[in-house]
Amino acid sequence: MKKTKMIETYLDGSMDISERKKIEVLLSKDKKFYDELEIHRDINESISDDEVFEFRKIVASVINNNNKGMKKDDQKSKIIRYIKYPVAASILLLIGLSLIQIFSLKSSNDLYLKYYKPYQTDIATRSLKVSSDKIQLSYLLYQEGNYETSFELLRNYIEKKFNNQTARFYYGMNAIELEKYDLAISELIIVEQDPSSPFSLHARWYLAMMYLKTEQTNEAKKYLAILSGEESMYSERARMILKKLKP
Amino acid sequence: MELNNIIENHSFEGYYLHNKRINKLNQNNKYPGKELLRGIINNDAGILDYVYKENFRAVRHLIITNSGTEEDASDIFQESLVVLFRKIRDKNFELTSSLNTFIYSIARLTWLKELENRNKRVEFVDTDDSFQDKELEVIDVIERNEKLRLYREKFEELSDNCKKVLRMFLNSIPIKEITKTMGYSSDQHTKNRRFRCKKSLISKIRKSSKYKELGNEKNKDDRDIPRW
Repeated sequence: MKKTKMIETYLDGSMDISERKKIEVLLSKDKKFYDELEIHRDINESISDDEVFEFRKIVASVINNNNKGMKKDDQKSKIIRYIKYPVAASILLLIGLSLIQIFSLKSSNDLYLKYYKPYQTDIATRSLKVSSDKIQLSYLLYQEGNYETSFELLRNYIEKKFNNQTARFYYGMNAIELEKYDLAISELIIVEQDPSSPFSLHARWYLAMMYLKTEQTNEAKKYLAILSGEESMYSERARMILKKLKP
Repeated sequence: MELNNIIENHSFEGYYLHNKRINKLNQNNKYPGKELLRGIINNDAGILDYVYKENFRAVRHLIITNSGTEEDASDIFQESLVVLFRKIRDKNFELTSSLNTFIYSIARLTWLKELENRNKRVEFVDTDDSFQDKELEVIDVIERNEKLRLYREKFEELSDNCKKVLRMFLNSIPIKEITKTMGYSSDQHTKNRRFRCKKSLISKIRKSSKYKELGNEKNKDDRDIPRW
């Protein structure tokens, strides 16, 4: 552990100058020690790099969803190949097409499960470099998945500063994770209705998600229609959901 | 780098299928290249779905016809997009070919590298060197991606408390806040916990078979280079 401690304190800058110089001499002479330090440095990079981690998860889900569809398609084509009579084949084809249409229409909750993911941000990480107060900590805790603690910190904060839209947004996002859907909706409505808020767009998307979750399809459609008409990161997804929603 | 020699001498039969698909894309051209890159970097599920539909079959064909399984195909496709993501994030990145060609090049090289890790010899069907330049651009990113992926996977295997402590230190949260948040008895206890977690993580990484596959057990120069 001595070596781990030495390397970590060197990397985080908490080592005093004389010790630091000793390490630098050692690094220039000892290849094994240099490699060891590089592993520590790379591990720290991989832990901090949530962007890649999240991207990999999204790609995995896109692949899984599509592969499931592809397997179904393969099975269908095998069935059709073995049909001997054209009439029977036509009937099966008609049935198949109807089924595809029925199953391509999803329930609101299915769509919520498919499209909802917690809000991803690097706001906390960036800000923490200059500030370490509790509000920043609450954002980081949300990012870490510690929703209860984050929720409590934000609740206390909002009681005093109810106009902070960023705090309200994260408060709402924590409420979603804690399954307090009514509270989440009321918080997100406040943020969404403030056009000056940087989170207004995100609030609109998560409101749509909340209305899908709570099966209030008409309300969800209202927000999805606005999102699909805007040029934003959510517009394509909003259009896809609108297509799949049951009439 | 030994991989360069491999690339110089070998190619896969999926090339022709791939070119066919590029032509098809050019006809449809649903999204301009820049929009695709922007969608990828913004984790846009709709764009990623489109990229999957345009590229997965070609990559799957490449893997399946060269000793791979369905699972390998999905894994290689996923990691190829991650490598692409890392490249786009690099400010100096410029897409000089079609996106499909670039994705195929990454997938091809990632699969070659994987086969090399598995020490597997593969028969190949045709020889074409048109991917070489693009592949050479991404070799380092592919190798680094493999390593960082392993580190992250092993990090995810740690206990929740270990993960939180290490993350909070990396995010420069003051030690007193960490001690309080985690409910530890003292700052010294928090520090010890951090070092123990890091040591445990490194031990997990070193014990993994993937770490050995990545050439960390032997000197790279001593490794056998498979003949393709």
